[in-house]
Amino acid sequence: MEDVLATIGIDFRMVLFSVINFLVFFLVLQKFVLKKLGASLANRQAMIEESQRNAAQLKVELEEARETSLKIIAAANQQASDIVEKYQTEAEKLAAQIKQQAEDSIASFEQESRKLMEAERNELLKNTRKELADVVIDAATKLISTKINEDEDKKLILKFLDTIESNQK
Amino acid sequence: MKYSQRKLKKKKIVIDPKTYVTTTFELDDAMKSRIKSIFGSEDEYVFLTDNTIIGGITIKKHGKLFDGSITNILNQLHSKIISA
Repeated sequence: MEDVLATIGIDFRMVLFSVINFLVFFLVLQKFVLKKLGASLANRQAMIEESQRNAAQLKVELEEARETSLKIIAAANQQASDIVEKYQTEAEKLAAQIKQQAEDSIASFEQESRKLMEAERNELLKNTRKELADVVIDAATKLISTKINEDEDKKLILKFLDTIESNQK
Repeated sequence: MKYSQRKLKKKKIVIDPKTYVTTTFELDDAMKSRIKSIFGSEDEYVFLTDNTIIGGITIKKHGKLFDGSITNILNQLHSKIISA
């Protein structure tokens, strides 16, 4: 075997030495470096996995938050819409009420004005009638008082007494 | 005025007469007598003249007024014109 290896130029002892040397180096490396390196890698692996889990959790939470915010926005929109509708209805009702009040006031004012004008017209008519009556009676009084003498007066008295007498019978 | 009433007047005792007769001109006795015969002669009559009455006669007996004056007719006409 050694001869065969020697023929192709490989020194068995050197190979063995190298193997042993490698094993020793490997053991030393494993003891002092690879364990720490493995622990470090495992730690890093765990950190990465933790980070990935956290990222997934954050993604889920973010999605939930987005959905929640969308729901809140939708609810707020609905509420705003309800409020707008409510106040629009109230405003329309109030406007109708104000319009009705204004119409009532105008109608009342017109009625009062008509009454006032009617009263003024009646008062004017009454005053005119009174003045006319005064003028007519004054004229008649003056005319009759100049026409009546004692004889005419006596005739009037007798006529009145005849009337009374006939009423008594 | 009766004698008894004149005596009372002298003593300043006022008798409230029951019947007033008001005319523009003074009435003669015949007219006064006729009035008494129509309205009753049992009351004391007071005959007055008032030239604010335009013709006719007013007689007030026991608070009841008989107004036969032209003034009354004119007043009625005045009221009718106003209320027309």
